[in-house]
Amino acid sequence: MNAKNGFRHLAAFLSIMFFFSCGLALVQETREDEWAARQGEKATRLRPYEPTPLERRVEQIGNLLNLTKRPVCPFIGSTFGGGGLALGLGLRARYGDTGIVDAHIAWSAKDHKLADGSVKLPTFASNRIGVELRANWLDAPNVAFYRTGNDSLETSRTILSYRTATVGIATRVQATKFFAVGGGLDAIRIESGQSATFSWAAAGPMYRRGHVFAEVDWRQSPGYTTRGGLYRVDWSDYRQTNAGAYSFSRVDAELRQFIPILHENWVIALRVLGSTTSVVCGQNVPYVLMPDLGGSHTLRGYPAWRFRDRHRLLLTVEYRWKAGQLVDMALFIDAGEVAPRLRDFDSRNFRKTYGLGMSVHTPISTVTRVEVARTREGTSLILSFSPSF
Amino acid sequence: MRTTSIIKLSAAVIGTLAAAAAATIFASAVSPKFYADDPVWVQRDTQDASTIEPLEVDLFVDLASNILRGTEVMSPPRAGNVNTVDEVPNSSWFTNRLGLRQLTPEDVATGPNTTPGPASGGWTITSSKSDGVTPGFTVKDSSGQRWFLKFDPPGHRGMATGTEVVVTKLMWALGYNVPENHIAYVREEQLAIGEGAKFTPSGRNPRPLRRGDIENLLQRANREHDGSYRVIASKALSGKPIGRVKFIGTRPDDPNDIVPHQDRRELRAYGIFAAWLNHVDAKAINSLDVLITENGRSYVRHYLLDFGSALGSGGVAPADYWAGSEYLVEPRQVAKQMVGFGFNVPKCRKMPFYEARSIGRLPLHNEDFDPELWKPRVPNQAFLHARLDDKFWAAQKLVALTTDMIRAAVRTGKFDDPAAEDFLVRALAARRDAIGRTYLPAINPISNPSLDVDGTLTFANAAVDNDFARAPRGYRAIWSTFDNTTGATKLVGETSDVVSELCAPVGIPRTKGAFIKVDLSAMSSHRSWAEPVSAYFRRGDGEWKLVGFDRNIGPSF
Repeated sequence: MNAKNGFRHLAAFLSIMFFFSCGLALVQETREDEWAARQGEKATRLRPYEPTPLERRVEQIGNLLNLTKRPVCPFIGSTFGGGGLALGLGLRARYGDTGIVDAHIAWSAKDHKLADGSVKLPTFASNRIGVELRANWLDAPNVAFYRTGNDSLETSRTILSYRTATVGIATRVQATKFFAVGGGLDAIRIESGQSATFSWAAAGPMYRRGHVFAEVDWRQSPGYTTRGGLYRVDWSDYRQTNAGAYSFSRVDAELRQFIPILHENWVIALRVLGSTTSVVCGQNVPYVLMPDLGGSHTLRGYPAWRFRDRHRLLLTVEYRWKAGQLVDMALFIDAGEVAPRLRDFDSRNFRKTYGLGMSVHTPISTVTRVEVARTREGTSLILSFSPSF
Repeated sequence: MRTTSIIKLSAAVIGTLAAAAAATIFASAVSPKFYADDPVWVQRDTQDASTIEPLEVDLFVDLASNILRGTEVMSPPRAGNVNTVDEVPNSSWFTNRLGLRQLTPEDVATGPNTTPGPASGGWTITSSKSDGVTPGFTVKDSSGQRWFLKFDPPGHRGMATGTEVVVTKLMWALGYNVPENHIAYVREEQLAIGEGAKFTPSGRNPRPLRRGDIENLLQRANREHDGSYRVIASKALSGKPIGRVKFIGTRPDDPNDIVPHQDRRELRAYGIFAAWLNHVDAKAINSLDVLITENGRSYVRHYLLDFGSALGSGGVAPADYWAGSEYLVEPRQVAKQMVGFGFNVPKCRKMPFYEARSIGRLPLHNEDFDPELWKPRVPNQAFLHARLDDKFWAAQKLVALTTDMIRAAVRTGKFDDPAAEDFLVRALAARRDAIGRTYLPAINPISNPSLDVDGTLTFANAAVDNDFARAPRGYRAIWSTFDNTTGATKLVGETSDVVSELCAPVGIPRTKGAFIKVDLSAMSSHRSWAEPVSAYFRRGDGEWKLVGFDRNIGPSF
């Protein structure tokens, strides 16, 4: 039986070979026939396209990246300066042409918990006017506290428990291509477990914050730029709505300038940031709302909230150079100071940091920034997902 | 038992027949080098491709895969679609225009156009494009013809639209299938919303198009002083779109697609033309395969399109400084630059550029353009597989494009900026010459041999004839008889001369159907010119016909 099958198979094979070879032999008389035979041969083994192993792997990576574009997606980022890496869950939904609902909850390595949500209403007046409703709640049980002043000691670090909730509305009017104004109104509540230590904590201040801003922004994109500038002034009025003496106003002014050299091979990036608070007699500014220095965006290398006081001044110079179309390197120097009074600013007291950084970016956004910063308190590694400024 | 005997007998008979057939196929495997119809000038799509299914290329997968494939190509084979005289036959990919027939500047200016553009009157929008910075619409003109409209970015009148038209004309002249593109003007009130027209806001689901959407989209387009908008109107290709041209492999569901795309000479040469035109965006997405049905049979025609990121245009802004100089991702270069603190400044960051709102940004000096250093944004496997013979072929095509033809093409861009247009013509002529200077002398440049009835062999020297090299001290020809079946040769004699005209030695066969092989080399300071090219002639009715031409380029080229 097996022998019979074997013969059958042999016969079938030889038949196929015979007819195939005859076919080939017949079509080889002209170049056109040869070409047609090759096409005819392919016609017998047509199949749908299948991605190559490389394309399949790339597709998988793409799908992974697209996870963040799904309505419900993992959240990776930060809850609050100095809180470490936070993980959580995000919800992002779009409605209308430009409306966005964005919410996430996250838990950080330092036990900070955050719930944040915003609703961007669809823009109107030809996309010139946008309105955003925002609410967030933060519970940060172990925020580093160094006391106020530019001379606060690293060794004075203690832990502060900080909890805040904010609900507000903000609007932005893009008056011209480069010029925008806006403002908003927030209700803020601040709490701290250290009511015995801090008088402001005992007061548990609640605020109605009104704020306005004006800016000229001619950078290529807020997320990544090699030229242009941003000039912005913010004014905020923190009016305490419960009993206490913690009403104040605050002004933040910032200038950023990006100067391309050698067809953007080098970019000199400059920044001046100044913040000042003012109170009427008998009022004060709670520690947690004072202008601060430290963290991945101001006075890098120092921890977040390292220096706080009624006023601050920060100067930054970065020498950026292109390492590739998607990679920039930077040498930077930050110098800043906080002071209880404006007249106390003295450049000799500036805290300075310097360092080297690398950022991976697209033409319009910064994907990752890694920096090594040196201060007189040590060397730090900074990881961020936004530009330094 | 009886059954087994029958099977044995059948097997024996079939085996014998198969052996006979195998002998036949062996004989045909030692098939003649040249067939009666060589050289063929048309490669037909003989199989019906009507079962092919549309397949869209994912931009991210295509770009990332091409980046990850790298740029190293080891020993690419000879182009798989050239005929026996080393030329590219007409096909669904390519049509010989320049070089093989007399083109005039007027022909180049007309290019693929068969109509004067969209019919005047109201245009009905059938869909719109909202992604990217510049808007786009699909419209039907008053005659019902479908057109794709794209605009110039604000402040750059003519840059994207003019560039698209100019490059389309030049690519047509070079032999590629391109769409019919016209510059036209449209007023907002001329646009009506068609029934079922959709608009897809960025990152959203499609919804019915509204009047306000048109207004918003037009805000991102450059507006003429009279309130109209200048557009590139691209005529919808006839046939059914079924996908894009990938620059590697073949399409497994297209029976006629039998040569890996990276081995198609016209796609390899496309890299040289892309370098010439600074067309950095030569990727699969900027092409289109359409299924054409003629006489009841379907086949795929392959088009190149979307030339908005070429010359000095970056599509939505002037071309980047690095356009043409660097790939988007170059790990080695990145590592070098990271530690160089920016002081190892790439050439593209130091060289001067010509900048104009009308044509964008191009290197100011193009005389020293080095096509070997030119790079598209993302590695293209067909470009990387190009060998010196492919580049020589491309350079030959290119130098056949006269400056008058270039000027005629540039004029069709209607940049309305005489100084910029003049610069563009000079730049393209300089880059053309630089390509000719690079590739024509790089290998033995002998071409177009012909043997007259008296036995006088004449030929051209593509490098010398185009003033890219000095004439050699002389030429040498080794004449042999050639057995077309076995490939055996037998030396007849050797002749030489200082000019490109050599006499055949006494003793070459004169009988009809006889073949001779002539190995031609040049005595020159160019070492590569000593490597002979081989020309094969077949004796016909009292005349010699060139049936084969081999540049004898090894795979290492």
